[in-house]
Amino acid sequence: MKVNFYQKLNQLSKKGNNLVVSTVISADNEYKILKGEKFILVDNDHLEYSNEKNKEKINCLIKEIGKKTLLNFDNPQLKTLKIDDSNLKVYLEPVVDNPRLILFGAGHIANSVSKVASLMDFEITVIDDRKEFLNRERFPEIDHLILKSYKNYLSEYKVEKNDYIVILTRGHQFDYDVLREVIDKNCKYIGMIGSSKKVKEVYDRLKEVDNINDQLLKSIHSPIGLAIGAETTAEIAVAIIAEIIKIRRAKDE
Amino acid sequence: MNRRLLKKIIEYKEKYDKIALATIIDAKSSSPRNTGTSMLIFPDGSFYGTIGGGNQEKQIIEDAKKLLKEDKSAKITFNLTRKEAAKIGWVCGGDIEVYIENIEMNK
Repeated sequence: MKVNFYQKLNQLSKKGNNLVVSTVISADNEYKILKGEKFILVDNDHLEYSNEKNKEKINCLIKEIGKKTLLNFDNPQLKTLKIDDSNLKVYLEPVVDNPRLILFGAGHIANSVSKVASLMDFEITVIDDRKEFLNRERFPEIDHLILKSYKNYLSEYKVEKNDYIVILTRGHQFDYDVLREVIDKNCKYIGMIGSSKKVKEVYDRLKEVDNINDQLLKSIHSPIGLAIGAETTAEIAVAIIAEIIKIRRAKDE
Repeated sequence: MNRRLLKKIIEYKEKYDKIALATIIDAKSSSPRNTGTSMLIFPDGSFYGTIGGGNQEKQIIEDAKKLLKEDKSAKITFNLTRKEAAKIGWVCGGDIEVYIENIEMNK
């Protein structure tokens, strides 16, 4: 396969299209020529081919797979097909983003959380307005470092339903500000660090000032992290990520 | 395929003439989570990512190096016994199919 194919795929994925990549793993007889060919289904409406010459044959193949099958799946799969007297195996794979992990705060715990999280498949963002905390020396491998006030970041941040939000700011007021903005947005996880006293103060304020109901407050993970008796920042980071894994891999999908 | 891997493939254009993309395309009776796992292998035998480690991965790296030399892509089938699978942290054994694709980095 030529790298151009992957460049095309990358361009399409930047535009936010839904993409399914298919590879003909094996093929015999009349379809032998398709072996190793790839094609991309773009947003359910058109196709891109690794080799335009084989367009017609690939179209026959897609007809056989059924467009519905091409679209209705979340996990990669291998399909076995028979067209006339040719046997084919086609591998179908959606192009997916790693879920986003958004860390509010770049302090010591955030640093440990980002390190543990970078072992998992997450696209990680860290936000803080303190240059001495948010820099490449402290976060060498993290995808996005955003040097902004939380307020400014929140004004442009669009919460996605697959987002994991961890609130680790340096004070009550910031925790409150961040939580108030994200609490009623639909996402996978919101966790906030703090002693039960601090958490209660933030919750009371959200209830009284912002009319946030108990049900929403119950959905917040605070105290944050699985109860494993964590003490050091590294241990707390493991507890937080363990909680996130538990939610991410829950089997109720 | 996740977007991060896609970006990586393109990044390596500057560094290598060709690279191999190895993907687990089918893992019968094994954890379905394994299907779709990919890694990149470079002509010098270095690699990016993992498909589970262990002897199987070593074998895949060797096969990929050979295929890169021959400018070929191929499907490879492994049989993992339960014991071997446990060793590399997989849920259970069975047949595993890996597709190794040769990607030409020059236009």
